[in-house]
Amino acid sequence: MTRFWLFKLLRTLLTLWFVVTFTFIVLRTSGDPVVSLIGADALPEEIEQFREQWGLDQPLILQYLQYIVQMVSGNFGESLRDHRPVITIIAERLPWTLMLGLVAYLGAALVGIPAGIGAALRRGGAFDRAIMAFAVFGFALPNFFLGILLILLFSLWLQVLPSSGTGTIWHFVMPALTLSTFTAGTLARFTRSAMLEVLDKPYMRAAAAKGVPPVKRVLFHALPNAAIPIVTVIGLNIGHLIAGAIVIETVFAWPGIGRLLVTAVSSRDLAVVQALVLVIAATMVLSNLAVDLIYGLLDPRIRVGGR
Amino acid sequence: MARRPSFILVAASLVLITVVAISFVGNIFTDYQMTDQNLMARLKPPGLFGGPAEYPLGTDRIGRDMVARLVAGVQMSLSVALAGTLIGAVFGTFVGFVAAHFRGAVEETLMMIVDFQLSLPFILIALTLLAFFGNSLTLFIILMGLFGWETYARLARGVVLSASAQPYAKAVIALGAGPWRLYLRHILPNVASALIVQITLTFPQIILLETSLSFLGLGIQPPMTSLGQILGDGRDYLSTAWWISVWPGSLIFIITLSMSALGDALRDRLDPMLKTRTT
Repeated sequence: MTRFWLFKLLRTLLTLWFVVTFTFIVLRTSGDPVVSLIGADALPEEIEQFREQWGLDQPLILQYLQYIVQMVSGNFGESLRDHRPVITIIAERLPWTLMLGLVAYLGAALVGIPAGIGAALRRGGAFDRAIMAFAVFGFALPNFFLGILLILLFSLWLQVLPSSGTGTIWHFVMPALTLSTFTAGTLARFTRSAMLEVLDKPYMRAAAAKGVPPVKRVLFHALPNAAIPIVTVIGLNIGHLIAGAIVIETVFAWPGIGRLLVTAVSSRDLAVVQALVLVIAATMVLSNLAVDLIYGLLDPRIRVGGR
Repeated sequence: MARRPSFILVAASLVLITVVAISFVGNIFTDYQMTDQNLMARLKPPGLFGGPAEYPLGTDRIGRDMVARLVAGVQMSLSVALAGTLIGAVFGTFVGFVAAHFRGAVEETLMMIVDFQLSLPFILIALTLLAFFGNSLTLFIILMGLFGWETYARLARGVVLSASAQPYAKAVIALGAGPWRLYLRHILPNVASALIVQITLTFPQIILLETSLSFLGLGIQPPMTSLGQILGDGRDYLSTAWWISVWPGSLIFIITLSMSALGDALRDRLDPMLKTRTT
């Protein structure tokens, strides 16, 4: 059992190390890192100080090690635009993205999982086909276009919701709806197939023969057994959610890290870009670790098998 | 066993053929070039919605004809996605063959890179590279090619590993063929159908990636245009000119929807094993 946790932890660390190495390689192959990180118009003494601080006068391997130490300790440097520490800027923006993501995720789970269960119970029925069609459409509709259609419908035509920004609870509605549509569709599809797999099992027939009422059978016999693939999809979708947030925060002028990343990329504020990549990657990798740990709790077979 | 082509397969193919045809000859519907400006005719609504008849789909913020813009946008979006898909397929398949051929440390390293790419959303990798290396059409197309190569690599590697154990592979080697002849002439045709299915599934995703980045202003740059870029332009004019964003958005939706439908139908047809597994 300890082997299972250790193995997962090791993989997580390995991926994080890969990400740090990736940004280091990109930073060093794209030009002079001093110019990249503090700007071409820096004073000579600033450059000198920066070189010393980041150890750019030392051999490459030492620089690499020092780079890792800096990144791990959260020293990401300063933003080119307002010369504030990058870590402060990210700390201001992160809560907005987390709030939006949480609302979107809860919404997607509350809609997607019951919809998938319903579709599986009435396989081939009208509801099932409607859910599957919705999932296909949700996959093909670009999220930024969905956002724009919602703005056109609710803000400009019906004039019931604010089109962008933050302030009231109503500002959450459209960004969260846009962000959760794709996830809800995927969740519904996977819940459906996971449930279908479970519903034919002998223990379901045994429960029916024993006289367990249908609602209880679905909730206490089928659902726990279908939970593993559903949790997997929830884990995998964290990446989609982050990728979605990058685009959607721009559509709705949401002050989160997604929009920060887009503005940093277009103004080539590289210290911010590099820090955001690491923060986002760390979030993803850690949430995948969390999913793996939840597996172990849900299914003793995985824990004991030590896969 | 011959089956009648399904309705979806026919409908999706017809839609795609129409879109491709429009991208080639669409300019016969308009007298304007995509860069022709007419400041007297800024933000004119489409002909059908009360605008002037000479602009059937309306004009944008500097009076450019939407028909000409959209035709150019479809051309760009389709060709970038096509180039990206092909680069990814060729590169990924090659990497998969290399990994399976050399085994050992080479294989481990390549598969670790594959895992790494899978662990991050690709848009994040794309944005990082665009930020550090700056934007150019060449880099942008290479980026589109980097999307999805890992799927082909895993597919090709798996197929070579399982095929190498088959008698026909041993026979070909015994007859004196080199490994590359074995991979390209004997094994590749056996994976062709799986590769084609994968291509039809990657293509719409690359369209979505390209349009997302161009929408954010980080993809195709003016004076060139793409569907995503037109849509991004229209975002600032939603309250006055909905048509600038609705036309390109609908086109993206139609293209990705019919391409995915085509891919699903092809997969069901070419790869019956997959169908029984997923439903």
